[in-house]
Formats: sequence, C-alpha cells, structure tokens
Amino acid sequence: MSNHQLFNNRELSWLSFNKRVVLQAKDDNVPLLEKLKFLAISSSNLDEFFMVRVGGLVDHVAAGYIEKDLSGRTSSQQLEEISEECHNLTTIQSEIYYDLKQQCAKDKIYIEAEIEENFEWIESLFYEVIYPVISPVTLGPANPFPFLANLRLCILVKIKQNGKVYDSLILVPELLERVYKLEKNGKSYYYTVEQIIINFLSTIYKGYEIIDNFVFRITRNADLSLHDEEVEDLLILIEKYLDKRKKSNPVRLEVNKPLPQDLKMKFNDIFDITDSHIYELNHPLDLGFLFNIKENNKKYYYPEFNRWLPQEVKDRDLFDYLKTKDLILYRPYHDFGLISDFVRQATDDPNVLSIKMTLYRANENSNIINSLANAAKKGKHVCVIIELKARFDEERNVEWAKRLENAGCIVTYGFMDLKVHAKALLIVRKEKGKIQRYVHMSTGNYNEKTARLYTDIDYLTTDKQIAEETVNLFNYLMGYSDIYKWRLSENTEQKVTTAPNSLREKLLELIDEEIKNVKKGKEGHIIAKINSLYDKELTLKLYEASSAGVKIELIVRGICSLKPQVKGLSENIMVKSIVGRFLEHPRVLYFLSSGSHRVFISTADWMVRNLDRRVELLIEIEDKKSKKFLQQLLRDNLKDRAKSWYMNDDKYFKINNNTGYNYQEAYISGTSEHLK
Amino acid sequence: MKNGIFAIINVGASALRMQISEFTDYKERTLEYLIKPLKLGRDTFSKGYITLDNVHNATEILRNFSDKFREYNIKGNYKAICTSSVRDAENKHFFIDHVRIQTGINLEIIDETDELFIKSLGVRNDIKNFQKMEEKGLLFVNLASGNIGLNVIKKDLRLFSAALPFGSLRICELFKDVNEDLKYRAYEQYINKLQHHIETTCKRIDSIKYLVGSGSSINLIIEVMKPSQFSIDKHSIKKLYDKTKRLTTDEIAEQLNINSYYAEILKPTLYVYLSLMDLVKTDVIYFSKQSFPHQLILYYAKNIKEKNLNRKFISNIKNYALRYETDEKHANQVAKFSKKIFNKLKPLHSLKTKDLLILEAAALLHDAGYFIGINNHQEHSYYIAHAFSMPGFDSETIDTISIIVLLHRDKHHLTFDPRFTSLPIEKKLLIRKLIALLKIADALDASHMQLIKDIDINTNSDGITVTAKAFKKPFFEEIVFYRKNRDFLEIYGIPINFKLDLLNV
Repeated sequence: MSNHQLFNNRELSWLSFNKRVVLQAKDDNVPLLEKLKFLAISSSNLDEFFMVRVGGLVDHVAAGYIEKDLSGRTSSQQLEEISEECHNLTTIQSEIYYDLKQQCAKDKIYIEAEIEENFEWIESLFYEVIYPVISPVTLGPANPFPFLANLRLCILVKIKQNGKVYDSLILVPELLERVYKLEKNGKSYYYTVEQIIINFLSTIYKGYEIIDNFVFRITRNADLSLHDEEVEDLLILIEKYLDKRKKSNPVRLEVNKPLPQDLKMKFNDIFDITDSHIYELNHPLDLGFLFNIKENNKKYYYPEFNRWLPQEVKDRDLFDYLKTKDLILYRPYHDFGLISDFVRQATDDPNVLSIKMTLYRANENSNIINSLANAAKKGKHVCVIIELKARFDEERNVEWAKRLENAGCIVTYGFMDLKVHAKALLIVRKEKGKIQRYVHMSTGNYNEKTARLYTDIDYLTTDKQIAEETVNLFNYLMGYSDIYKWRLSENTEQKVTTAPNSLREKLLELIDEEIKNVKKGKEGHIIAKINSLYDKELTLKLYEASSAGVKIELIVRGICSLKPQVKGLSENIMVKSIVGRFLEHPRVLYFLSSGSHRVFISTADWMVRNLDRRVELLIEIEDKKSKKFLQQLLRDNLKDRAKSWYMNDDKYFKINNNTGYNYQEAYISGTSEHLK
Repeated sequence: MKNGIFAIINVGASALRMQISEFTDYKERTLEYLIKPLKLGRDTFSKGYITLDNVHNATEILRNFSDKFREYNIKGNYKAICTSSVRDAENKHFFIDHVRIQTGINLEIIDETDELFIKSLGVRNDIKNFQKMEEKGLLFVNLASGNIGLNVIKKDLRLFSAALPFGSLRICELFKDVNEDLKYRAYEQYINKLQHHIETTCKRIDSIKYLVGSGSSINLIIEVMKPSQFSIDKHSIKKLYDKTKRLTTDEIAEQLNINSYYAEILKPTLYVYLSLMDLVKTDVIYFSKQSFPHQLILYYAKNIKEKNLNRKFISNIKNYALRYETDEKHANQVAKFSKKIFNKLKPLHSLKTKDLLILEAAALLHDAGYFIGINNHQEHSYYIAHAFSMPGFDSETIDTISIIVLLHRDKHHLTFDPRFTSLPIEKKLLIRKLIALLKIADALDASHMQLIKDIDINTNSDGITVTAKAFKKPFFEEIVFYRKNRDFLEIYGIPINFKLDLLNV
C-alpha cells in the first residue's frame, strides 16, 4: 500500500461529516423544525468551507503549488473531487428541502408559499419595504458588471425592449429580511425576499418584457488572515508565494436553476470561474434562511429538559465539597450554571485572593465575565487571558477585554504565534492562613450559550499537583514565566500536559505503552473520543498499534485521516462518528495501561494545528469516581447506535438506521444513573 | 520563619527568577516558581554595564513579578537578590534605583562569599551524604553564568574559598570573537588556568576526595544528560564533550534539542567540570537540583542553618592563624583565659554569645602579625585578621575582630585611631569591653611560657580577683597584669587584682 493510500483527505473527510449533518434532517426521530435547522447548518457550514478551505486550495493552484497532501492528492485534484462531492451534496440538500417543505405544508407551515394566497399583504410589503431600496443596474458599455460582494444574493434579469435584449442586475439589499412571515388562520406563510422580488419584476422593469431571471450568488475566497484557524495549514505551505495570491477571487457560483450556455460562458468570463465551480441548484440559494422558520408549537422542537445537578453537590458549598472530593460534570446534561455560580461565589468570598481564567469564546452578557469584573472591583487579583485570535469573535473579544481592564482585571492576550485553546480556571483562597487552590478545567469554552448546545466535560479539583501545574500554566500564559518544572520531581509524572510543549510526545508515549504491553503478551486497549484526527504521525502510530494487536476504538466526530478496518493495516481499529442533537465536543481518552485504566480529558484535537500551534491541555484524571464516570461515558458512546456512523476505509454507514440506543437521549432522560 | 508567605527574587546572569513560599510551622511549601530568561550577564561580562534595553526588559519582568506581591499580599516579606551580572555592572546603582522607582522592588546585591555560603548550605541540606563527604574532603563548586564559586572543605576546615570570574557565560563572552571551530581550545586554555590557580593556592587539594556541583550549569547538565541519580560520571561528560566540542552552537542546539543559550554555554560548562574532576581525581560529580531562589528562601526564612557554625568558625580561625606561624600555645592560652573571664563575669558585662566568639577569635589572632615583623605587630595582626573571610560571617564581625586585634596593645591609644573613632558609640563600647578582657587574658601569659596553668575569678567587696594557678611565681605576668588592667577599671568601673596560688609540684 503506498504511503498516500494510508490517509483520508482532509476536505473530503470534512464533506462527509457535513453530509452526516444534512442526513440528520432525514431522521424521523428528529422534530420537524430541528430538521430544517440541520439543513440550514449544513448550508452555512458549506459556505464557510468554500470561503476558507476551497479558497485556500484555489490559492495553492494560483500560486503554482504542486505538492501533494497526506492522501497523495494535489490541490487541483482535491478541487475536482470536492466539486464532485459538493454537487452530490447539493442534490441531497434539494431532495431533503422539498421533502421537508412538503412535511411542513402538511402542518400548515408553508415555505416559499404561494404568492397569490396573500397577494395584498405581499404587494404592500413590496411597495412599502422592498421596492424603495432596490436599484437595478442594466448592464451595458456604460454600466459594466459591478463588483459582487461575497455571498451577496443577486438576480440577473433578462429583459427585452424594442427587440433588444438586455441583462439587468438586482443586488438584493442586505438590509432586507431574507424571509418574510405571515401568520393567518392558524397557518404560517414564509416568503423569501427573492421570491417576492421576482414576482414583481414586471413592476420593476416597466415597459420591458421579462424573458428570464436567475438568482445567484458568488462565494469568494475569504481574507484568509482573518480566518486562519481553519486554513493556517494551507497558508503555511504557500507563505512564500503569498504575494502572487489573488485576493478574494470567486471560488463558487450558485444559481437557482440551469444556466443557458451563453450565460454560463459569460459568467465563466466575468468571474474567472470554471464550470466545475458552478452549482446549478434546484432549490433556493443559501438554505441558511431556514433558521428563520420559527413556530410557537413546541412539538416542532426538541423537548426541553431539566439539567442534572449531582445529588452530592446540591445545596452544598462547593469550596467545602471540593476540599475532599473532585467533581466531574458533563454539559449540557449537567448544568453549566454551577460553574458560573462557582465563579460568582468566589467573587463574593472574602477569603478568595485571586481568580485566573482563560477566555476563548464567551457569550454576550456572560455571567462569568460580570463576576470577574465584580471580583476585580472588590479588590481581588483577577487575571484573564483572552484569546483575540478566536475566529469571527475578534470584535466581541476586544469589547470584553476593555470591560475587564476597566474593572481592574489584569488582562493579557496570549501569544503572537500560539493560540490559547486551553480552558482553565484557578481560584486561590486563603483558608486558616494557608493557601488553597481550586482548579476547573474543561474541554469546552466558558460560554453559557454553547454550553447548552455542545457536549463537554467540566472537571473541578483541589488535587495539589494539578493545582501546582495549573499555577505554572497561568504564569506561562500571563507571560510571567517560561515553562519550568512541570514535573514536580523525577518520580512524578506530569498530570497536566501542554501543547505545543509536550502533548504530542505524551500521546505517542501512551500509545507506545499499549504497543509494548501487547508485545509482552498483555492486552492493549485505547479509546479516544475526539472531534478530529488529521495528523500523519498519530495516524501512523495508531496503525502500528493496530498491527501490534492493540484494540482501538475511536469516536471521531468530524475529520478523520485514519482508515479503519483495512486488512493488514487497521483491522483492530474501529472508528465511529456521533452526530446528534448536541454537537459532540469533549476529548476523552482511555488507555488500558496494563490494567491501571488511565483516563484523560483534553482540549486538543489530534491535528497538527492543535498539537503544534496551540496552547492545549491534556489532564490525567486519577480521582476514582471521575474516572469511572468518564469510562462509563466512553462505553455509552460506543454503545450508541441511533446517532452513530461507522467508518470502513473512507466510507461511513449506519448500522440500525436511526434506531437503537441513543446515548444523548438517554443522558437527557436520566436513564444513565451516573449523571445524578 | 514565622507562619506566612515569603518571596525571593533573584536577578541572575541568564534569567530572573522568583519563588513564593508558604511557611507553616517551619515547613516550607513552594507556591510558585517563575523564571524569565534575560541575559543580563551578556551585557555585563562583555560591555561592563547593563544596556538600557535590558534595564527596561528586566524592569518589565520585575513589574510582572511585583503583581505576585499584590496577589499574595506579600508587602515587605521578600528579598530581591542580584548576583554577578548586577554586582559587576558599572551602572548597578542606576539599575537598582530604576527598578525601585518603576516597580517598588528593592534589589540588594549579595556578595560572592555569601552567595557561595547560601548555596553550599542549601546543597548540604539537600544531599544526604554531604557531611560524610565533608569529613573526607570535598570541593564544592558553584558554576553559574558569571562566576565560579569554590569551597574546599575538609572536616570543619575551609581550606580554600573563592569566587572567580570563570562563569560559563562570562567565558563565552570573553572568547566570542574567536573562530567557532577553535573556541573550544580557547576555553580549554582559559579553564586550565583555573585549575592551575587552585593547585597553587590550595596545597591540600590532593587530599580532597569528592566533587559536588551546583548553580545554573547543573540544570544544563541535567537537561542534556538526563541522569537518573544525583550524580554523573566523568566518562559520560567526557564523551559528550568530545562529541560536541567541534560543533557550532546551532549544531549543538539541534542535535541535543536544547535552547541556543544552553548550547552556547555547554562547552565551557563541561570542560570546567572535567577539569575539576581531574583536579580532585574523582570519576563522579554529585549535585543537587535545588534552585538558587529555593536556597535563598530557606536561608532568609531561617529554615536552614549551618550546624556547629561557631565551632567551625573557631577551627577555621585557628587554622588561619597557623598559616602565619602564630605561637599556637600562647594563642590558645589567651583564648582559654579570655573565655573563662568572659563567662565568669557575665553579670558584669552582659555581653552576648556572639561577642564571646569575637573575643575568642581576637585572642587567637592577636599575635599573628609577628609573622610579618616584630615591630608594630598589632598593625600586621590587624590586616591579617581583616583578610579572613568565612561564609556565614558578615564582614562587620570580621571588622570588629580586627579592631580588637589592633588595639590589644597598650601602646596604641584608642582615642586617636580613626579606624576606632569612626565607629558608632555602641560598637566602641562593645570593643572596649572586649579589649579590657583580652588584655587581662594576654597579660596572664605575657611571657608566652604558659607559666599560669589556670585561673579562678572571684568577686568581692574590693573588686575582682584573678587567682593565677602556677607552679612557680610568674613575675612578668604580674607586672604586665597591673599595666594592662587600667582598661578594665575604666570600662567596668571595678578594679581587677592579681593573686597567686602556687600549686604543689
């Protein structure tokens, strides 16, 4: 087997994940409007994919970069295959869209409803709201084709007057709603803005004959420097060619119906885009508009549920509790409010000397941020490390930073060249004259909003070693100290491992230990629950472990460079992906380790960027109860059938067709006792 | 140290470090350890001063460190210590002042002897067999970036003690313009000079069996060689040195996977150790991983002390006096009588134990000056005493001893010598009290013949009587006694008289 055949391609693997998201909309157990959301999510995911990933590959081709990726594909080969996959995906999206549209209609929810039914309302809407802001441009020598902004919805109208045919362009103004809703007689009617405009073309072009119209939009190569999280690997490769890069050139053209040949050629020319990047859709553009389909009836949504609070911490002072025991929580089944409350409690506690935390992405009106600001106002020593490079969140991040600084917090912004992805909170308290430290580490952000949508582990402890290593971590992040003395003594293994310092080595060591054990005739077993795996070294190491006879079970939500179940390569590796109601986000690792059952939580995905260019954490959990909890969690993940996709080579398939044990539902309903 | 939090800042030649410790019932718990690399030594050792850029960089780091004072509410409970890179910098006062104004941190410069003492004290507490090694003879080396500190110890004696400009970074800076391929030869030549220097200054170096290392160089050795024990053998060091001596800094950094600073100082560091191992004829070097800030914190929080320090001090003084061929019997006799008088008259003079130590040392050294010349021997004794140094004893104590030595003769009138008159009143009083006692003791062996075997001291209504026990009448002693007892009357206000008690043969 050639080296290249050992790995899956990153982009195709991601597309395959996005397909699993779309197919959620076909699961009968998913409530109707949630299905629409999945379709909308898949569509906006795809937009970003084109802007960033495809954009990056287009840059490669433009820069003349011809090296192959892990899977042995050149950038132009990848673009071809992406095009093919995306065309297939849009067919699936269309199919699902019309199916869901029909299902909605049965429930008297009309999407792209008939105009005639509410003509009067629409007519006034058009005249009052839409028409005044529309300015069509008829193209000609005096009016060349204007610059079209990224993802801007446009309508090209073919009009005729005095036997002469003209092309005219309507740029749908962004200030207009994408969807207009009318509720009448227990029915809901949803109209897209382009639907209304097209209906009134003859009004807009008075005196002209309307021959045809096309709704289209251009996806442009994003300004990559702003989106570097997803594309930095591509950027690094072509750094030296960057000056040759054409900025923001079109990478995709979507149009709502087949284009006649002449128009296609015109578009080829205008946008410098080949046919393979033109997507002639059979459904409305930008299905993201489906986020706007909102009904009051709760039956269309996932049922609300009560979040659990472990019995033992109910009505207990958390400081007291943590002095003797660790606490592990699993969002969103457990209430993340406990963590927000803990920070608030620390703020009000006169014995607390300092609070330190990392903030990567926080929500608006975050209780945690309010607490931090209050703590500083009360004279506590508050240090916050804000990661300004968190994608798309820059503006919001700068805003908090200012708020916190004004309140008297010490705010630092991490490193120039390393993104801080670690999530940690340290509370230092003086108890009976002695310093006592409380540590919270998590696989997810301190974000109260996403804490309801993503699954993540929260771990609280006063373990001396973890606390000490967390102190070092903060001193490092604050720029007070270099990494030093992570190991307390020769005989103590680090409990908190960091990337880019030593996390990769640690993972390799752990896998190696399993290999060694198997070679000695013992059992070897690895379970890893991660978001993505795209790393040559780790993939090869896992193949090596599989060949040696280590049993490997990987629960990888998204991208996976590893090909499982390949004879002579990875027979002992099982890969599954769980795509369900909540976005699976925690990283939990298990190693049999000669029967000592070592368990870790981590912020790091197994990708080059995370292991080599991020500050990430890997924490060994030694507390018995917490270990048991995490092992149970992994078992439940492995047991899941309803939402699990199994991978063979590079293909994913479902075993029970959406039925069987659904671990997310079981956790919601509380049938899993260990949550309580 | 009472219960509480104490911090140490150490401004070193290659990094600034901070340690914060909590003390509970004399137990130390390290709360935080910070380290920020900054090569102040590179400035000082090559330019002679700290560049303005680095003054600012250091200030910035120290400003961050001072955040920690606020976090733990440390206030004045800290020591901020600078070693050679500041000590040897021409602009040290500006540096210290700038840091104080900008950060509120008061930096202090520690002198070489104290630095070495604190380090050896720390290592002694950390290495189990240190005392056994001391018994058999040990060379303690503190190889840091700026200086090398050396202590040759055998039993209680310090045979040699010095801080010399052979720090690893300093050596690199000295030869920075030498061709990269030939650098190792320049280093070797220079370091051989160190070996020669020790050999010629410390004759008894052959009797030394053990080598113990400390200082930042040990961290480097540990990182590169990863020893499993607290020792490394000569063979491994030699092998590594031979492997790396012809490599460039970049090649070393790459091959050994260490930072460029460590790569740069590797060669001189290894060669210094090799050279010292040759000198001591040992195949192994022992070390402690204790950091200097940790040692400092234990020292300043008074959690470590040298055991039997006073006894060792006296042994070292005796040994020192012998180097100047002092009349050992006389010196011991005067010391013995001084002690006896001091102890008997405690209610009268109300002096402290440390003052007895000063008196005893002065008694042992008062005639050392005869080695130089018989005339004005007190002047010679003075500078011999003044040149004595021992880690753990501050220079003020040594000054007091030397003044007493200077003034032990009647000839020298106290009120005129500026070395005495410039002292503060309390000091003058202490010295006069001690001199009065020393003069009596000295008189009691004025002939240097030890005619008086022992003395008794009694107090009665007429004053104090010293009863001298002798086999024959000590004529000269009695005369000198009455010549030298005026000081006693002046300072204590009580007459002191001589009485003979003839012993039976």
